[in-house]
Amino acid sequence: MSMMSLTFLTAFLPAVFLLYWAFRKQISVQNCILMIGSLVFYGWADWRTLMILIACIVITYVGGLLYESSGSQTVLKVSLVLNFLILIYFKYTNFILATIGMAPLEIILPAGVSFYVFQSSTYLFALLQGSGTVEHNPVNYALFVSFFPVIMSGPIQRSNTFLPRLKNQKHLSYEQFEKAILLFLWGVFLKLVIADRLALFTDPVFDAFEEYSGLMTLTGMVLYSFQIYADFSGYSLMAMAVAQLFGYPLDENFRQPYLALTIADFWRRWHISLTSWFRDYVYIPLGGSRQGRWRQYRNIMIVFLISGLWHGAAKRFIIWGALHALFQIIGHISLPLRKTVTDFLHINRKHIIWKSIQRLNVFVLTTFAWVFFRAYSVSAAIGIFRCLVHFSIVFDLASTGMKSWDKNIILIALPLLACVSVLKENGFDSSMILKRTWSRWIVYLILMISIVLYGMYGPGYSASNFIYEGF
Amino acid sequence: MKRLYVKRAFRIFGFLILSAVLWWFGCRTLIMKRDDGILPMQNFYQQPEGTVDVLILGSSHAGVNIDLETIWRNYGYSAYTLWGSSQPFWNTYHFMVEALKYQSPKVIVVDVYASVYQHEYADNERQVTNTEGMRLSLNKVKAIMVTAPQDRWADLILSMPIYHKRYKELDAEDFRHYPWNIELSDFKGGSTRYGSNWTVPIEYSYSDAVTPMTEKEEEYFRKIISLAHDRGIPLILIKTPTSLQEEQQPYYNYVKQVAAEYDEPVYILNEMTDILGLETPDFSIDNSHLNTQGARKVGNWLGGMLAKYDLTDHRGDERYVSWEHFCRNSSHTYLTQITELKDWLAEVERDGYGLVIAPGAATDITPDVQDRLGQYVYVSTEGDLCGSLVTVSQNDGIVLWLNGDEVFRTREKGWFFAAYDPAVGEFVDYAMFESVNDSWMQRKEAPNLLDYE
Repeated sequence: MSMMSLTFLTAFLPAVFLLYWAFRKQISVQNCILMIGSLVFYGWADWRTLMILIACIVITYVGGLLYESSGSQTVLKVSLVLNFLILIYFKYTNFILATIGMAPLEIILPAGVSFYVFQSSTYLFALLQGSGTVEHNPVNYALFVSFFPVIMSGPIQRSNTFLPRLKNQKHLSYEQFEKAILLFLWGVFLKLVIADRLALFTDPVFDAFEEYSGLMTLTGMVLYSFQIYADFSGYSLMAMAVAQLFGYPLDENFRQPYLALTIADFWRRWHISLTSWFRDYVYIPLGGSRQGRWRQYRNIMIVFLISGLWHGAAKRFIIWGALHALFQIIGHISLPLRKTVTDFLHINRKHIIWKSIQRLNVFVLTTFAWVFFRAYSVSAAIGIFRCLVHFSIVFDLASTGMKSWDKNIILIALPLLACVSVLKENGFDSSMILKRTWSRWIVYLILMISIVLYGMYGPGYSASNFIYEGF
Repeated sequence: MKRLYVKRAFRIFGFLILSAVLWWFGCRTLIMKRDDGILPMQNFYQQPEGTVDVLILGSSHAGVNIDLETIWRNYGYSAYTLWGSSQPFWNTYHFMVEALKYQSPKVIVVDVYASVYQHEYADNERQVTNTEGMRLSLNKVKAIMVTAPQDRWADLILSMPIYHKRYKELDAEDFRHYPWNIELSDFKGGSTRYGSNWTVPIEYSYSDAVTPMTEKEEEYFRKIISLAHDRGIPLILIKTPTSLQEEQQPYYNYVKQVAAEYDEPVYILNEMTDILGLETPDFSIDNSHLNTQGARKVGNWLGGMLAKYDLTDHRGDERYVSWEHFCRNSSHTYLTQITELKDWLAEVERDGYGLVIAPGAATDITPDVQDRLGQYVYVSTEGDLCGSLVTVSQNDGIVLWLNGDEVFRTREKGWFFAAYDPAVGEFVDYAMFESVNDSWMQRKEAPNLLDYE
C-alpha cells in the first residue's frame, strides 16, 4: 500500500488511527493494532512479500532470544548473516549472476527490503555492542521491524530508541496533530507538485539524452537534483507525520542538504538515518578516523561503495558511491591548501559569499554524481556528459513532457522550497505559523489547493512510485 | 478544559466544512462542460420540481435523433433527454435511477442502440462522461463500479483526479455552471445539427437473424424495464433511425424478443422511414445520427406516440417557461449552424425572425443597425422569403431581388445577413453568405453578432 493511495488515506489510516487511540490506555492492545496494521499495509500489494518480512522478523527476533539463553555472540552474528542474506538474495543475486555471465533468476524485489533489513539489524548490532536489551514480546518486536510509516522508505529506526517507546504510553496533543497534518501536506506538496512535475522534464532527458541539446541535458541534471530531494524528503516528511499521529516522534531524515558547505556536511544532512547507520555499523567498526589518514580514506571509500550498492544492484550506483567517497577524500586532503589560499587572499570563510560558493560547489558535485544515480546505465551516464561537451543552447520545452504551465508552477514552487529551506536553516520553526488559527488555516488551504489543483495525480499516473521505494 | 475541547472541535469542524465547500466549488468549476453525458445529468438536477413529463434515455442517438423543440412546439410536452455518447444500458439504468430520485416522469423513452455493444467497459472517456455528471451518491458509486474496472473507481468517485488539470483551460463558461444560475434549467439535453456529412451511403438493410446482447447489456436492459414497471411508468422502447448496418439488425431483433417477455413493443424506426418521411439521406448528418431536420420528424412522430398517454400540454404555463427558453436557444443555435442561405432563410421564416441584409462591403452591422436603415435593407418576415429572394451572378456583381424588385446591386461577392429575434429583442445570428452560383449562397466565416454585445 502506498501512503499516497486513496485506500490508505481514506480507509486504512483513519481506521487504524481511530482504533489505535480508542485503546489509548492499553499499550499492548495499541501495539497489537499497529503491528497487524503494519503487516496489512506491507502485504497489501503482494502478500508473498509479507513472508519475506516475517522471515526477517523471525530470524532477528529468535537470534536475540537464543543469544540471551546461550550468551553466545556467534548466534547474533549468524542471525545477522542470515538477515543480510535475505537482502543479498533478493537484491543482488541477479547482479552477481549477470557479473559472472549467468542467466538471471526470476526473483521479485520486495518493497522496502533494504530498509527493514537494516532496521532489524540495528537490534542485533545493539546486542552485539552490549548497548541493547533482548525484546521478549514478539508483537513489540514485529512492530519495530514492520512499523508501517517507515517500512517502505525509512527513516531507518534504531532498536535502542524505538523499542523502549513501545512500552510507554503515547500522547497526541492537538498541537502535535496539527503539526503532523502540516508536515504531511508539505510532504505531499513536495512529492506531487514538485518532484513528479520535474520528472516530466528529467525522465525524457535522462532516458533519451541523445535527442536533447547540451543546455537541456544540463537543465535536466540540475532539475533532477531537486526532484530526488523533493521526492525523498517529501516521503520522509509524510512518514514522520503519520508516525507522529500514532505518538511516535521520528528524527528528521533531511536537513536542508543543498545548503551543506562540504560533501561530508551534505551527508550529515541527506538521508540522515542511513548515513548514521553506516557510520555506526560500518565506518566506526572499520576504525573510522582513528587509525590514520589513509585508513580513514579507505573506510570512507568502503562505506560509500556499500552505500552505493545498497541503493541499487548496478555498477552505476557503485560509481555514484565512489564519487561521493572521492569528493570527501579530496576535500579532506585539500583542506589545508584551501585554508592557506583563503588566508592568503584574506577571504572571510564565514562570509555569505564564500559560503554560497561552497554551497554551489556541493550542489555541482552532487548534481554530477546524481547523473550516475539516475541514468539507466554507466554508458548512458557517460553519454549524458558527452552531451554537455558538445554543448548547444537549443531549448525546446515542448519536446519534454513539461508544458508551459508546468514550468510556471516549477518557477514558483522551487523558490518556495528554497525559501522554506533557508528559513529552516536559520531556525524557523513551523510551529510559529501554527500559533494563530487564521494563519494555520491559510497555510493548510494553500497547500491543499496547490496539491489538488497542481499535483501530478489522476488517470495514467501512479503516485506510489517514490524513487526510494525502489531500494 | 472542556471549553477548550469544544472550541477545537468547532474549529476542526469549521475547517472541514470550508474544505468541503472549496472541494465542491473546485469540482463544479473544473468539470468538463460537455453536452455529452455530463451537462445532461448535471442540469437535470436544475429542472423545476415535477416538470419533466417525458424522460428520454440512451446514447447519442437519443440525444441527437429526437428533437425536443418539436415535441414542445407541436404538442407542449415537457421532455428531457438524459443521454451520453456510446452509453451502455448500465449507464442508462443508473441515469434512470438518478432521474427518478428528482422527477416523476409520466413516460420514459429508451433508445435501444446499446444492444449492439460488445464491450465489458466503454472507453475511458465515456466512463467519465457517463458518470461524472451525477451527484455523489450510492447510485453513482454503483454506476462507477459497473462502468469502469476497479483501478479507475477511486479516480471516478473522487472526480477531481479526472479533471484537476483543467485549471489551465478554464474560460468564462466554466464559471457559469453553479446551481444558483437559473439559466441552467433551460438546458433540456437535446441538441441541434445541420448538414449531411455522411461518408457512406445511408442504407437500410433488414434481417430476421437474432443475435443476443452481451449478458451485461441484457441484465441492465431487463433492469430498465423492471424499474419502469415497478414505478408504474409507461415505457417506449425505440431505435431511432440510423443507417442500419446488416449486422446490427439481429441485435434489435433480440431486443424485441426480450422486451416481448415484458409485453413491451420495440419501435425500430429504421423500419419505419417511410412513415417518418426519412427516405432520403438528406436527413442524416452521418451514418449514426440524424440532422435537426430528421430529428424534427422523429420528434413529431414521438410526440404523436406520447399523445396516447394523456400528457398535459404545458405551453403557456409559467412553471414550464424553461422549455420555451430551451426552444428559443435551440433555434438560435441551429440558425448559427446553417451554412446554406436557402435553409437559413427557411429557418428565419419558421422562427419569425426579422432580417437585415447588407452588401458585402458593410462590415459594421451592429445592434444599432435598425437606426440606420437608410444604408441597409430591412425585411420583415411577413411573406415567403425563400420564394421571393433571388440572387443572380452577373458580370458586374450580384443583384439581390426581393419580391420581383431589384433592391441591391453590388460588386461584392457576398452579403451580410443578420437575423433579429423580436421575442428577445436581439440579433441572434450574423452571417456572411457568398455566392457560389446563380442560386446558391453559402455561409462564410464571419464574426458573430453576439461578439458585439
